[in-house]
Amino acid sequence: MLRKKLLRDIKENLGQFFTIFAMIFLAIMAFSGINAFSDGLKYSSVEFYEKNNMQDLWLYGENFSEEDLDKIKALDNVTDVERYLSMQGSVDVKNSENSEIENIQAELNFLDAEDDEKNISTMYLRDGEEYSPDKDGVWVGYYFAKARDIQVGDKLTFYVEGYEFTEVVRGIVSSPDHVYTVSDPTVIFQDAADFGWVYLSMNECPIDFGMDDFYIYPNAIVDVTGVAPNPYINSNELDEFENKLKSVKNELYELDDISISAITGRDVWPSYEALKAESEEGDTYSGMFTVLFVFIAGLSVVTTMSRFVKKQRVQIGTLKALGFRNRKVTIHYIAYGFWVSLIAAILGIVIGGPVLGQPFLNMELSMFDLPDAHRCILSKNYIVAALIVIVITIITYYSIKSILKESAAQTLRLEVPHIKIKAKEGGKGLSAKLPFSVKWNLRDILRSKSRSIMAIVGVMGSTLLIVMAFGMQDSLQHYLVWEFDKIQAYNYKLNLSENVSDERLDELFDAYGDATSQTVAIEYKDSEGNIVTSSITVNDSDGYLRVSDHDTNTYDINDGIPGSTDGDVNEAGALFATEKLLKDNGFSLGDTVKWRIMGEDDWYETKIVAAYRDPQSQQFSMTRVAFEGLGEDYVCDTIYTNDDLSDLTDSDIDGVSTISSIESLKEQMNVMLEMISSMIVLLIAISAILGFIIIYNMGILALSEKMYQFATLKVLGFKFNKLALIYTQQNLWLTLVGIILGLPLGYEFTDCMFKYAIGDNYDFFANIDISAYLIAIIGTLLIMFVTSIALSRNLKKIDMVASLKANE
Amino acid sequence: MNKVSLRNVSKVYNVGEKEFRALDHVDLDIEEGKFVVILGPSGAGKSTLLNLIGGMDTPSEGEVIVNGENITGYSENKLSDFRAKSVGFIFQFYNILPSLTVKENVELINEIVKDHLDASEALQDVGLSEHMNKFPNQLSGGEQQRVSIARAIAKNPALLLCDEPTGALDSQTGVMILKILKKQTTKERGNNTVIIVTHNALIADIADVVIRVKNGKIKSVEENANPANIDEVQW
Repeated sequence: MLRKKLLRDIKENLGQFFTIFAMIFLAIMAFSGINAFSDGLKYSSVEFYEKNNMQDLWLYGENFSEEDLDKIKALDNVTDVERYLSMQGSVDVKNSENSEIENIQAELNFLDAEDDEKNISTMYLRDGEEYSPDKDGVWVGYYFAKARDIQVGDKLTFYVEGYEFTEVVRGIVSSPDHVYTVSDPTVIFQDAADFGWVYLSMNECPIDFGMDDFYIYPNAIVDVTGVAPNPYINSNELDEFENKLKSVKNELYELDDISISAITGRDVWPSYEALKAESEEGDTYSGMFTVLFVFIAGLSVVTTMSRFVKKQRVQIGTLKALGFRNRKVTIHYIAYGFWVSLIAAILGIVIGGPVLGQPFLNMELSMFDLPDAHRCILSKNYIVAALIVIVITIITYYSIKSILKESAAQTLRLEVPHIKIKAKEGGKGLSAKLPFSVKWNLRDILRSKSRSIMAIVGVMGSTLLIVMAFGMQDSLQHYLVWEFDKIQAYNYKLNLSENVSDERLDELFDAYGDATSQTVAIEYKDSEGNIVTSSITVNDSDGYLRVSDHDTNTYDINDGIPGSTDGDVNEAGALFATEKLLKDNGFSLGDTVKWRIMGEDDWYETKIVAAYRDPQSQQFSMTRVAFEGLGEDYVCDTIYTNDDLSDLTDSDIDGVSTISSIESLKEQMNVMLEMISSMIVLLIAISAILGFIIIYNMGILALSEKMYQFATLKVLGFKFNKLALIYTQQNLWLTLVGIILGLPLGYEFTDCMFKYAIGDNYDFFANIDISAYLIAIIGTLLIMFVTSIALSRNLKKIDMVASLKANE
Repeated sequence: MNKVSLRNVSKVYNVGEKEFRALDHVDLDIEEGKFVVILGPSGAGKSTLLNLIGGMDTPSEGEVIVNGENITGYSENKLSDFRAKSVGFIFQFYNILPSLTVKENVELINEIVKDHLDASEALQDVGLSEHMNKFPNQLSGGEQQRVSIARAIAKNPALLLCDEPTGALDSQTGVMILKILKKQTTKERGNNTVIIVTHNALIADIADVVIRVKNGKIKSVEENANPANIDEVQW
């Protein structure tokens, strides 16, 4: 019978229970939806890497011979090793809009012609025939092929090192080490149509290495025994595997007669690292949003259940008077919160994946070429959903606990308002001089502390979310200006081909100026002695490539950084280090760092003379004078210019591999940022709606609690406008307090979001314009006024007789 | 002169699909300066009658005239003005605002009435001068009811409407309250009219006029030529 009562009560109070349902449903839908895509990315990538046997180590050397490979293979814990030659070149493709031929930058990977079978990072065939070293033709990356409408059987013309050759497309493939590919490390988001990668047998390589049938293989990949454990499961296996990798690395370095300049693992491989960072972003979002949603849902449950139980007071008394035990009545009332939250939780989990997770996953898959990617609902989603149901059930219990404690007779009497003012006389001093409405509202706030606190917290949450939504946009825009206007203060960057002759270099300097830089790959020892791979930008750019201080002011590297420079920037080996690198490695300004150029045996010990800030790359910099002071040759690899090169393509300038324009980099960045922010803004919009609901709920609660007092005032002759003013005044105060707390918290949350959700290589921070705060203030006040006006209409409808009789 | 006149007044409530006639074609006249007691069983229509006279409710048909004003067709705002200026209400459970002190509860009137009594004066009148700065929860039931009376008389109303004013009080405190109310009808106090709705037939002995109500109709209106002394009333 009680079950029937429960169903009918829910039906009768559908609006209130729907609010609880909606909150919990949205909370769990957001959590499981975000996790479905972020865990989906993580697990789909692990499965792909495992199935297609992604390499564990990358070796860089001069030329790996077959004997070298045999020696490496003979090492303990090495299953297999393969060699290849990776080169930057270009390819002619059709422009999809006007069908004209366009020359596009491409990465050409020539695989070992002697190897019978490719076993490491095997290709995932999308179309065409399987790769074999004895076959001619080329295997093209799937996303590039899709973007440029390249089909199996098409003929493509490639250019590399001045050679031109044509190949038939034999297959369209994906590869575990090319899930995410960019043409240049400065490119953050690459349009698949603008950069391609291909695999082909070394037999197809047109380059003359000086001897018949002699090829050079400077790259090799190693498969270490055992399967790389899933990095998302914390286990001892992972540590064991890391140790195995370390010992293999050490053994490789110790091999005689093999020249290895560097060994890197998956963690520095851009494709692996980018996907890992992207999928881990979801963890921060899902945690943050779920806490917010559940918090708001919890507040809503407290208010809704309190109101509902108040309405049911006589019914509770009747049940008790009839002889129902407290336990039975408790279970009956707990069931309201329990069933509503359980159904909402189940639906949230079921719907979250396809409705929220899938679109996000699809959005991510436009960047990552990950075959068979799927959503993933892990047990943590069920655990969190169960916890939320438990929390809501407990909150429901506490909402009815006080009534259950009363005797049946007491419960049957209508509730007399509790007066909690301490037995202390009032009406003296300053408070005596305050207007009636101020006094009344002030004391009402103090009397109803929990309601007031909940209202403040609700408003605070709403304000915080609005600040976040707009603040994220502002901060990202600020980042664009910082990185692409202030730090990269040039219009075009020419990446030079390898081995450009001195004469050609002089011609290029004459044509485009001699503002240059060189990127030097290095290894350094952190404060615990671990070897870390990084790079030094040797900056001779005449202020085109600038260094930034903590507050985003930028300087020519030769001028140092005011306030963050300790020593002579031109002293031999004087290092500039990014602030985040210093912090992450336990270094301080003035410390000495032990480092060496990749492939060289000698270690330098030089001082960090300046700390600078870089939003997207944590590394070192150095002046050309300081670099040459070490006795090293400065060989520039980049030229910076403000000339207008908009009419030129990559292959137009001899000796230049790519031309990057700041505008196109900005554009790429904008595309990525829009993707990220649309995702966040969607979630924030949902949260802001929830904030609105909580303010509305609090308003209703405040009104119902004070209804008899308003009725008294109305009987005395107070008019509607005056009552509405009194009611709105209190809401206004609580809203203002909420806003005052919400604004700085909004900044802090945005800052945290940037600091923890974005990859380790970034150093973002919140930079929120005053307009975002103004919008938050006006938006929240607007919500408050709209709800207050909507709710104060109830004051017009107060049935004085009924309200006062009910109080009796 | 009639202070209150009701002409053919009915009040009909719709309960579900049924009609409930709380007052059924009532005609009534109450003179100025009288201490009137309305008696009747629960559901007879006593409170409805009081609410219609006080402008807290509107009749379904008929006319309500108070102080010569026909308030029947008044708008919500006009009724608020009418209540503010002309009527003082006193309820069984006092209905004073818990977050205001005794004095502030009375001073509430200053917000809506210009020609009001001084709050201290009104409180002195009901014997609460010493408790002016206390909050309601620091007072006894009788003291709280006196605050409610002080608030009502501070408006200087010509008509005091009391719904079971002694219902929640003991006999001794009830007598004290009745004395204060009765005092309001004296010439010295402005010849005010006091109408009390009660179950308690004993109170009828002290009234100038006793109106008996049953099933929404006026059963009788009796003038009491010799009202009893309030001190003699006990229950």
